[in-house]
Amino acid sequence: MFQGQTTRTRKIYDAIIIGSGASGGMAAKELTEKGLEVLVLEAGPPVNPSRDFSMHTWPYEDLYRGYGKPGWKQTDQWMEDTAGHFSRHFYVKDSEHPYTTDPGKPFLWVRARIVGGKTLHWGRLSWRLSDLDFKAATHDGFDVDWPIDYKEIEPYYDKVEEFVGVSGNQDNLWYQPNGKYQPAMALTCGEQLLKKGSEKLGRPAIQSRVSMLTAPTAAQKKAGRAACHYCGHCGNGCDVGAMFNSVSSTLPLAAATGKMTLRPNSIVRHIIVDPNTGNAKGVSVVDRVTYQELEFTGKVVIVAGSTLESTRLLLNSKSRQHPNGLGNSSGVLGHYLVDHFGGISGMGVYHTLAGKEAQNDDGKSSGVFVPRFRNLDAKTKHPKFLRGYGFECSAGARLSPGAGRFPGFGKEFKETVRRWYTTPVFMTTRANMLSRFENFCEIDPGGTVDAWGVPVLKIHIQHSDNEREMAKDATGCIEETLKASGAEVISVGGQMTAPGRIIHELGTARMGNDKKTSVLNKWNQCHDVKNVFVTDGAAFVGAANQNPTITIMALTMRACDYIADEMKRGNL
Amino acid sequence: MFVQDNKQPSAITAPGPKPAKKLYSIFALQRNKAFSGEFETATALHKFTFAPKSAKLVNNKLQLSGTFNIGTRKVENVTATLVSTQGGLGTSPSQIASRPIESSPDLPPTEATGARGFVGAMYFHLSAINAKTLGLTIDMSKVQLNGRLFPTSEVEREMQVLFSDIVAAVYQKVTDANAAGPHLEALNRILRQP
Ligand SMILES: Cc1cc2nc3c(=O)[nH]c(=O)nc-3n(C[C@H](O)[C@H](O)[C@H](O)COP(=O)(O)OP(=O)(O)OC[C@H]3O[C@@H](n4cnc5c(N)ncnc54)[C@H](O)[C@@H]3O)c2cc1C
Ligand code: SF4
Repeated sequence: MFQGQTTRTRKIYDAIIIGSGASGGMAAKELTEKGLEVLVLEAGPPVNPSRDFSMHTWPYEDLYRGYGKPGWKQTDQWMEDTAGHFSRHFYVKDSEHPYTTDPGKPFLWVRARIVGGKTLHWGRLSWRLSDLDFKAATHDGFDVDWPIDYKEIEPYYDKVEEFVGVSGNQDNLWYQPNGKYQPAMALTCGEQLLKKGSEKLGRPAIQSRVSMLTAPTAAQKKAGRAACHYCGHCGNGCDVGAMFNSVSSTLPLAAATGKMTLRPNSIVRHIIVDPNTGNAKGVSVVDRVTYQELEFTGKVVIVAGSTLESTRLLLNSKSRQHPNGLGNSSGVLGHYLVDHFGGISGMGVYHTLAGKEAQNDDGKSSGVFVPRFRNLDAKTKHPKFLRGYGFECSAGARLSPGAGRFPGFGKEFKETVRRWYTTPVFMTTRANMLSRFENFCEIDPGGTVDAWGVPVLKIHIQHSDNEREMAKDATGCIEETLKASGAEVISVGGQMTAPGRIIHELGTARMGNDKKTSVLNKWNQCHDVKNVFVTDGAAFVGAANQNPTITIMALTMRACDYIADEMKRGNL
Repeated sequence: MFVQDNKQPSAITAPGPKPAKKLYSIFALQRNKAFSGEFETATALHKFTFAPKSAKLVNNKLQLSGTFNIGTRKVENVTATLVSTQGGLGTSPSQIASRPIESSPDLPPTEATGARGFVGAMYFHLSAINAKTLGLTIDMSKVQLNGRLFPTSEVEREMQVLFSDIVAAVYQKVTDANAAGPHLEALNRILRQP
């Protein structure tokens, strides 16, 4: 490391935004459009879609058909579960970015350090939460409610969905609210069968709502975004802007205002506190490439590095005024860590679809979702667990799950494989993990650091019997649904995924009305430090069972409105 | 689409960190009985190996002692104290995968947890190394060795299970040095073999 002097810039930004992913990108757009001068500090390198995305590649171009050089993942990026040969540069190298766990309690932490963050390769499923989730404690008595209700966040969901471009249907389920959607993608034949089967059991199955354009608005077209053409390569970066990511959507608009300075390769080490007021006055940064130490000054600091990175940063920001980390007078910072769990799955085949032709719709990357159906009301109350789970399902043309065991050889074998190509159906669980104080992260007491000398997290998290009972129930329901839909069941069951694997880590700087039991107020503002806002998933009070990103963006937009208002009033 | 300055390196070819003057952490993969990796200085890329010869517990922490070498230059009696670990995921090593699950046997288990947990990466603090002995002018006074276990041979598999059992015994809230004893003995037997 070059231990030269620290370079300080004179300029005072209205806001410093840490991270350029879903939350940071949205904050940059919102605040610059409101006239604020912002500095976006992004730990990772810049990204240039024309060079860095690999959208229309053929399977034979994929090194070892997507597996990459033997062992690369296991030696370089062993925790980057979803990284592939064409997307590996979107993800961190685990060899440079350690984190630690206790024996027998592993955690899978997938991280993107690049301009755009995880939005470059996210799965795009976009579900609103409802008051069943925001007011879950009122409903079942466990833990506490969020300090906001659905009505307060609804206008922001509307605005985010319209801007981002979400396709889906109005399904009129009170616990899975409608939104502002572009036309839904059509269901494949197998998905229609599955939907009917699930509905026979009294469990609505609805078209997945995804942040992918099906009918771009004039504004989206003007921004250079096109409709999805179902190529199915979203994980390698979409260079037509059909899927929402920061580089197609939020950052270009922020840049167009002329009010955003984006500095890639800028790892924020800690937030600098004014010793007189205890408020934030700026940030300390180490350059990822040159190791140069820098300091930047801002009136407001928005922490949007993703749930665990933001928490690490706050915990590393210790000072005389904030001896346990910034915003941690409650001792709650780092606690109530949750992820959804999956791993309980089922596969089957529809004999009725054997020998049919594959359709273009088979290429779409959205499927069917069975929203939560347990513990909605007294009638659906489950005796063994609280909260619930949903099923992410898909059916369409792909290699049949049993293909390896088909009899025959040569031409005959190929014909059999082709005959079953249009038949497979898959279901997997996305379940709520309860928020519990004892699931937490801290700065590693062993003193482990990353390649830049920044102390790393130790993560402590385990499932409880509530999750295990849910997993058992889900196993039975998957089998029931596959059978009710007319599928031959090939396999059902599995192990629950280790925490982190679903990549929905949330809750470590929770919101609340009481500063003794929460880190943030209902505007994502630190109770302890009024000019620090944490706008990512760390703010969540509970995980619910739906994917979190659309809620993260709605909360960010709402916090930005509040910041701009408070600045006008002279409170920030 | 937000096209950033084309003069900037793209993400695919983005440079890694420049050579360091002070080494914070270096990555090494366990191959055979040693940990091997490389790091860069202003003058060159250096391939290094840390080859432990013995293992013991010091204040309930695993300490390996051995040789740190770059090419023909070496420093003897370097200690590597295991400060923290990262649990592995996916399929547990076969010896561990067959162990019974402790709690709620009629409910689905979580992958690679509890008795079926295993170590995937080990973070060691090396004793201060005089870099001059290795022909280098960097600060190696407090280097962290990020040791990755991804066994591809019988001895590596055996050592992963032993490391996992030692960690399970002494890196818990309640430590049990006695439970680590037989695993430590077995580890030393392997390290002593030529
Ligand atoms: C494969 C995959 C599939 C997913 N599917 C879905 C889905 O279907 N639906 C859904 O809702 N969610 C999904 N997610 C999760 C979703 O990507 C995240 O919820 C979302 O990106 C979180 O936004 P964020 O802004 O908090 O973090 P990120 O998007 O991760 O952005 C954080 C940024 O902050 C930067 N940063 C971190 N620390 C620092 C620091 N110290 N200094 C400077 N910069 C820093 C990082 O480099 C990163 O670029 C998926 C994720 C993955 C990986
Ligand atoms: S399937 Fe649609 S969203 Fe995905 S990469 Fe192709 S065009 Fe983009």
